[in-house]
Amino acid sequence: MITILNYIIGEDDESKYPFLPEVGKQMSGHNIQDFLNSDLPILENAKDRIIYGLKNGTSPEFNETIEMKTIAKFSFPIAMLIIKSTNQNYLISRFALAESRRVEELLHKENPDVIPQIFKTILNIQLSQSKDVTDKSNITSDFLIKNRFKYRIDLSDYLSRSISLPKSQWRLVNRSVSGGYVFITQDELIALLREEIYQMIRSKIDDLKIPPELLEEAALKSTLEQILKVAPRPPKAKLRVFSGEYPPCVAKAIEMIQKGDQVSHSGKFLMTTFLLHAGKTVDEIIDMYPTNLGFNPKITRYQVEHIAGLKGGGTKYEVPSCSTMKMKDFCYKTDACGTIKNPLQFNGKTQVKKHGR
Amino acid sequence: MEDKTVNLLKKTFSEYYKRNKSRISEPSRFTEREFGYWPFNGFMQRHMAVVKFSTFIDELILNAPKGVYASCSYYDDPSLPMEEKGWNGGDLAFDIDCDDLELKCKREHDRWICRDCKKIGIGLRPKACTKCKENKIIVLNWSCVMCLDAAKEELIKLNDILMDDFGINKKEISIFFSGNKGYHLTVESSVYEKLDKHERREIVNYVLAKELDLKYMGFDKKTSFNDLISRLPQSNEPGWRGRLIEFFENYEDSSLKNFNKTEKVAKIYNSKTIKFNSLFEEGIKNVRSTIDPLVTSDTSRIFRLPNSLHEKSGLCKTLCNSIDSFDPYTQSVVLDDELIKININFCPKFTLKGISYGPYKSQTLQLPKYAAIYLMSNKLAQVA
Repeated sequence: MITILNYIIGEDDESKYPFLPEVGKQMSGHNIQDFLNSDLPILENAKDRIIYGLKNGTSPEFNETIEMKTIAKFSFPIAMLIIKSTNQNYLISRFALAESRRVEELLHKENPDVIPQIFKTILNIQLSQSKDVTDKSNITSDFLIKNRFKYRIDLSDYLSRSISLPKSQWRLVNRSVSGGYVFITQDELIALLREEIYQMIRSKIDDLKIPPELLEEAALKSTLEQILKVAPRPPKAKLRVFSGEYPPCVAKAIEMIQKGDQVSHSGKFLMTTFLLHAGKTVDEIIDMYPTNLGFNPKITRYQVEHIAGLKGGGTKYEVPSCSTMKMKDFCYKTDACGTIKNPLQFNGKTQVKKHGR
Repeated sequence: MEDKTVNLLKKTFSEYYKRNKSRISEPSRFTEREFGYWPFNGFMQRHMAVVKFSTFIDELILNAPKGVYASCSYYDDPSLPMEEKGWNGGDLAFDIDCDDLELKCKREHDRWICRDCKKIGIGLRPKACTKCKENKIIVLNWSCVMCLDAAKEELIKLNDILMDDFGINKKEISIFFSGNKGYHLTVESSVYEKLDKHERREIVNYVLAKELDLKYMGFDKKTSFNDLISRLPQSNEPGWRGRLIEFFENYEDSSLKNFNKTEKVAKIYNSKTIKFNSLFEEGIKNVRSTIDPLVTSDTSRIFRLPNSLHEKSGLCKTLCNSIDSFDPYTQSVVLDDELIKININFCPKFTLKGISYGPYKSQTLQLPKYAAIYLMSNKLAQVA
């Protein structure tokens, strides 16, 4: 068991949230083969988990027996190994999305004592239950109950996440802010961290290193074949990307989005602002996001329209500079970039207008 | 500006830096900051890294620049071009300028001058000269005690928002008189130093109450009166919800005397005689702090160095230890009172070190150096 602050993460939590570090610790004492050849149907469960996820976009419900909890807990890392072995970004994204949706569903119903600990552990977010602050500040329990503000999150943690959410609901000015914290409901918290949960699962898969001999394991090979037989095929890209037309960072963002790779907010922001500047319409840009990889068309539309200045405060966002993209770890500079300061200057096609005074 | 006048300004600024070498203390983490200065004749020099601060002051004495600046941002190497510096965070910086406050006194003390026919007009700039109809107009944005008092009010509101809403510790906040028309507030060593410019823009919008949406405060035309009462926030709630509700609760109207506070707000919202939207706008203006939105979100900006002289006034950027009692027109006057003979074109009345001067028009006078430099920096006088 892992003890975090005042809450003890137990067997139940480990099966619900199998990406918790404690599950990894429990696995580290064993060979992968132990799990593949276990008496418990861990491999079978991992296969079902993947197939169900790829087809339905979420994970199957597991029954509440102790045995099933153990299976569910260990089938997740095994499923990650298997999906990574497919070497298909599209399938990896769909699986990560299905698992993140399962987690979201669980979190909506979760005990408020557990949630801050989970997010502290997996995303290093400073979060606490808002009821804990009433004694020290002028925050009244009436205010918290009336607004269903179960949690308060550090303002800087809030800003770094909410900035990519376009709705006016998420703007700091429309939030209740006090003492460096933003008050938030349970549903809002999960919506705020939705993409990060997905990216956390996705990174865990990406970071896995599979020993080549494992791929020769008969049980794994056969499971992989069964999965690939029924797995959905990736959609055809609606827009061809011509190398050389776009600066490498923009081309990379487009390629990643269409392949179903995880793309940071900065990458999506860059791609959208650049394409808008390049004369693409909002609809043309929205069409580039494959809907079957978890991009909600409504949310995508809102985000693109917001960046285009058609929603929210009417600000049309500028294409971020090369230094910003470098800072955001999304610079894929090549020799062709030369000394440009903004992706718009790539190929010397566009002059960047300077702002400020 | 005439050579004689520029030379005197340069000499005065150089002497100031020479005599006040110890007064200009090094900013925190100065080796990580970009420095710059603006010579009287020439272009702004930027991207300077300072290894030894006293050497930088020696350079100021030698070059006698009209403005000296340091970045709020911290870099791996401040001397490199902007995109290569390696940004590591920065102070949260705010600028309040009385010119942004739409003050009534501007109509009384601001002047415009026609470059063609030399007509001087009072108040805001017309589209064309009222005498010769030409559009070659120079504007004099003057500032007075009332202007700076209004800027101070905005500063106090900003300080309250930062401490109450953002939880910033008083020790992390430094407040300065800018040396001319307003105040600078910087927050150092806080949890906010890593915020990028987009996140800083959210802070700006918060302080300006920009894009504040009524529906998130419970206002909704579709709900019944009782529902509205149950949805509306209380004035003790944090952030804008509480501040704006308090504003509405304090609104005085004889028809609302018999209602409790929340009922009163709901009545105002549903009233056919009170223009709610106008009142809402007024409420926002009343409770927000009018900061310059570009300054806070611009992480590559360089800010005037504390205790350096302002080229448009000859006053010094001064730390305000006690904002309530701070008197900018006394505490930031750092030049001496040696008499200097100057030709004054014109100027409105002004007060420095508690002494009132002017108004003057086409006069040659001997004034103390601080007052003479004040007028020459404002381009209203020349060395006689």
